[in-house]
Amino acid sequence: MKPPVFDYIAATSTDMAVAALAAAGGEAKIIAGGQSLMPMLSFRLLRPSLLVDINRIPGLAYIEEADTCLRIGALTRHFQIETSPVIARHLPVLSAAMTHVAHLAIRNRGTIGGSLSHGDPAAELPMIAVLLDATLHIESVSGQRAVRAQDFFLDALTVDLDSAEVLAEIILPKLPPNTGWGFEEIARRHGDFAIAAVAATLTVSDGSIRQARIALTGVGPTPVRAAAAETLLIGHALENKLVESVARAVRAAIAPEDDLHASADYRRHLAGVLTDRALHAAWRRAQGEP
Amino acid sequence: MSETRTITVIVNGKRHNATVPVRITLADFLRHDLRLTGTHLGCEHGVCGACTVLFDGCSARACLMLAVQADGHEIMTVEGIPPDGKTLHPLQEAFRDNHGLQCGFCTPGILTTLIELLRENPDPSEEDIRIGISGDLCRCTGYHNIVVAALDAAKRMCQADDGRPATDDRRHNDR
Amino acid sequence: MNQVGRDFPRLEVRAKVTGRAEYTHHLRLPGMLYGKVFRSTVPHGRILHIDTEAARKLPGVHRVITGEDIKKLIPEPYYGPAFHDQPILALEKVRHVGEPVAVVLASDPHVAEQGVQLISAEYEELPAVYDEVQAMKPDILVHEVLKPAGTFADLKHLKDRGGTNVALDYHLRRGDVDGALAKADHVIEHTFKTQQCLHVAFEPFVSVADPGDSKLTIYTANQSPSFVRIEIARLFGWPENRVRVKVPYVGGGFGGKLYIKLEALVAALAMLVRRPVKIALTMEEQFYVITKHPTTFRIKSGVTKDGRIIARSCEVHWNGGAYADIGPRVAQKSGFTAAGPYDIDNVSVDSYEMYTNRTPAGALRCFGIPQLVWAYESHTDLIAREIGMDPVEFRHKNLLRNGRPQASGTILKDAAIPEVFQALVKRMNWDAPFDRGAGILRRGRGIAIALKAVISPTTSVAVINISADGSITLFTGSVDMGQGSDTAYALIVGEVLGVPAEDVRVVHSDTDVTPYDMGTLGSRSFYHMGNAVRLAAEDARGKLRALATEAGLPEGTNYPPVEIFKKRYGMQAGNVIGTATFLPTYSPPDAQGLSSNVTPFWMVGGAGAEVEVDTETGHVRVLRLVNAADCGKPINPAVARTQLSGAAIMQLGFTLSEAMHLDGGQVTNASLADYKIPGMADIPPIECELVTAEQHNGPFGAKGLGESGTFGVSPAIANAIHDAVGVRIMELPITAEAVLRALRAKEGRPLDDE
Repeated sequence: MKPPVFDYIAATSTDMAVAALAAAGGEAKIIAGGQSLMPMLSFRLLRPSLLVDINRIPGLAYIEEADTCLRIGALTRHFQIETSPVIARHLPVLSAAMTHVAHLAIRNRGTIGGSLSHGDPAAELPMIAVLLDATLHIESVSGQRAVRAQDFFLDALTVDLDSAEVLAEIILPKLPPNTGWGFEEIARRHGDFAIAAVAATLTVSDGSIRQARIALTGVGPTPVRAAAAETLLIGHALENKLVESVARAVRAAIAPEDDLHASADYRRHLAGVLTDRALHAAWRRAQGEP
Repeated sequence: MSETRTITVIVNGKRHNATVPVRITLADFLRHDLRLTGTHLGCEHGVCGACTVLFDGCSARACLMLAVQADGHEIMTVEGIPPDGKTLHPLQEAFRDNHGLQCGFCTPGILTTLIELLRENPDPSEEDIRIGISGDLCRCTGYHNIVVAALDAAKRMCQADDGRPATDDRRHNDR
Repeated sequence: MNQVGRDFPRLEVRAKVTGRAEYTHHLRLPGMLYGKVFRSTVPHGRILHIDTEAARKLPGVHRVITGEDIKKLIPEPYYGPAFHDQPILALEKVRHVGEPVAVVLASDPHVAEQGVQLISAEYEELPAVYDEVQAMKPDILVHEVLKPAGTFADLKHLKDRGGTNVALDYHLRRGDVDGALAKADHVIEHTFKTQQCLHVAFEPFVSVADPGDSKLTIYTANQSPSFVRIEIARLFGWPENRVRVKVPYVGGGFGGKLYIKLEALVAALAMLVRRPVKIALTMEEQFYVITKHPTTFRIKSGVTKDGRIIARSCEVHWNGGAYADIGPRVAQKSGFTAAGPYDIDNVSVDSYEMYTNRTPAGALRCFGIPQLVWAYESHTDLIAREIGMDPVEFRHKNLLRNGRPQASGTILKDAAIPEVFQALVKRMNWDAPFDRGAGILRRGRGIAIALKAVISPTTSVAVINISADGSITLFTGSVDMGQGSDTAYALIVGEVLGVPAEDVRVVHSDTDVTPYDMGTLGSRSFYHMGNAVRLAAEDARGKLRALATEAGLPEGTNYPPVEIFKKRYGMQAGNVIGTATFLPTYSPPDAQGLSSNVTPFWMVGGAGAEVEVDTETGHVRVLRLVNAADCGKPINPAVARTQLSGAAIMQLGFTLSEAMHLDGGQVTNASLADYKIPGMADIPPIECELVTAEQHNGPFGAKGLGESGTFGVSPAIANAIHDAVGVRIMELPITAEAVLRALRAKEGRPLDDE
């Protein structure tokens, strides 16, 4: 368990980081929290020629409240998100999801930018980014661009990020008033990646659902938004028959695979069960229940 | 040959200057260069928690960091927990008296994690302990006495601290 | 002051909480080379070519060693405790994925690791067998001929047996099983399976060998240093005293670090390159060293209308993997109690240790007993359900009691079976109303109890040195890997010699100074070595008295030792050396597998579980886990309780989450991230009860119990799940998916139809 040879740069600005990435011609990797990268180096699954350390870039870790959204710096640690009063106030579903991310020592180091860029198919943060329609700001020597989270995750461990680009900021729109949320996860152990997880939000007025979002992780190569299932909810009150058909639509929208920890059948089944539970929790919270 | 860098690290309050290959993990640096072998390596991929140290006061896996990343930072290892060469820290006393260990291989990581946990939450519930140190695996004890020892440590530390506020705000980055 | 029987902090605890405890893990010697192992990627194959050239040319690589190099040093480089079947590095054939094929030596472990990646090997792949029952067919042979080691007299008959994958077959015949089954009112049969699991000691295997001028020193994380010395001396054709084996604290063993693992390899490498060599495996590599046997257990019982078990037949196939290790002894010794802790007149046991193309299997916390208990206590519960009796009442009716013959024919003595069972029933409030849950969350409870015969006959030797100032040093070959043996022995010495245990110095295994011990295994140490330590202390006490008499001190007076030495030798000089050897009596099984004296003591343990099953997801939450064990008279109750809770939670992992997954012979989850041992937030509160009894021949009435906490956990949970939701899981581990599938199958709508 010893990493291969590489060179190392501790960048002190984003410009310096992207310049180093560009100069390395696709052979460099960014190290942020390192919680996924370091095991891959130790197992020698990756052999970059250069590590660009972004931990020393000032001003890359922040949670900033704007009128309609929250802006989160890519280097913000999981623990900071988990305990942020601003996030708890505006995006409690994100706060809840964070408690499922590994363990304290990992959350102290791991970063939101790292988790999204890594794109683990069973991770919580990519699912939340998709759920909340996040916009990702990406920088490189050729400039900046923005990508919707929906379009960012391409395949397992594959995201829309060139080897010369760095994810700099994540923008999460605030949820409308009267929005309730639900988060349900089944994992092998506390802190493990999800076998399946469902996050949902319901915005309710006058007893009927105005906006619905359902996202899943662990049930395919990328996080999934169950758009067809969401549509079924609009204009209705939540009741069991409706939830059944929504769960059916969710199960139809995913393509899980067998792996060590669960079969595709079981994952598909869980997607339905957890959708049911997440929607009920979201509905209750939308009514002001805790 | 591997690239090297010269780093300055404060470990357990003592400043060290060293030239290290950039691929050396913080754990290997502590164990081999500084001979602080109390930081144990179990899985070397961040799962077991035996190598957990405090990095600027926050728990971190020493096997998932490079030594160069520690340049200019403060590290505390299990060797830094006792107040002096003779006395044990109340946390260590609690582990001794409550049989919170067997083979002792996971113990350093559990103790360092608990230093952080009890600093942030001086009066934890049993649930707080179980969740807070859930990332530190132990194969011997069945955890029961670890939880008992941690709760006892909290009591002992409260008495020793006499109500000193333990939290600090540096971990929050809300603007 | 009484020393034994009090809660006493571990002697070494200060070193362990300050990070100063010494483990082999830390050792570095001047001029030392690191070895990294190149391993087989095929499960079964003939080695055609090993290309080491690129690795040899890598700057920093000292040397690359293959099996052929080893053979030049050791002509017959095969080792093992039961069979001499395991080559130090593969020769001619590889028999499992992960088998060591070559080693790269370098001063920098990073370079050695890079060197390993530059080696390639070509194999002629052979068909492989992975299943223990399929391996009974001799069409795929893992080994052509059996090679029993001769260490154990009862394996000698296997010599030169060939054309089979059966490494050992043990048969027990008591009474007339077929006749009794024909008369029984109910005949009930089931087949249960267990999975391949891993010890996962947190200090992975690590050994260092240092070739001196006239002596080879091995520093190693090992549970049986005396065996290492004997085996290394045998391999080199040396006298024992040319090999020195030192063991500091060990970061967990659980049976994995028994006998020889890396020691023969580092010894051979060090002798070849004449420099110290260290091999420290990674957590991943541990998956290719030694495991817990997967098993298939077919069990059949004949029961009368009123609930008496009158016959039981047991057929167990043990998947021993590619090399025997101690597997044959597991199959044989556990065979004695395969029918459970019940009073059954007619019993047959057929136990087969099978070679397959998997990672070898050996001892893991209980020498096979948990696999057996899983089957027979699940089966017992199912019988009770089928005949409509309460499972507690049914067991009460059939429990074996002291004075009655156990299946092996040995009369049961000092085995607190009814007492342990009663303790469980009481703690579980079995007669009180039980909240069975409602809606999707259903609750149930289960109970299980078991019996084990200790591994015998085995020898332990202890030496005690009383120095002229009266201070006491104990020399034993026991290895303290966390179980607290140093502390327990210090308490015994303190009790006999009337000194505080904390003043007794315990010297760790160093075969140059510590005497022979068979090994720290199978809960034998505390009984065997504990007795040796007690006798050695008594010997020293007697010699000290004799010294006082020689010195002319009046008998019966209580002079402090320092005065006695001074009086006798005129100054602070001299020593008193107390020694003792302990070997219990034993009668080997006869042709029927029966013996009048199969064990010097019995271990009894049981568990009760309350569970909550989520009927929508299959998730099982263990709400309560109660463990009880017969511990004789505990020497250090606090440590005894920790042993029980540790054993129980380890077994909980084997029950609910742990399994090595195999695909074409490849382990597909060889990492701690994917092999799921329980964490602190995954487990229930655990209650451990020490059932105090008297082991008449144990040290101060005590007995070993490092394993008893594992016994009942798996079936207690399966029984509780059945109680909660009416489905029976027949195979470990009990994952949420397995429970859900069983629930859906019972409802007649299998999961895959969804």
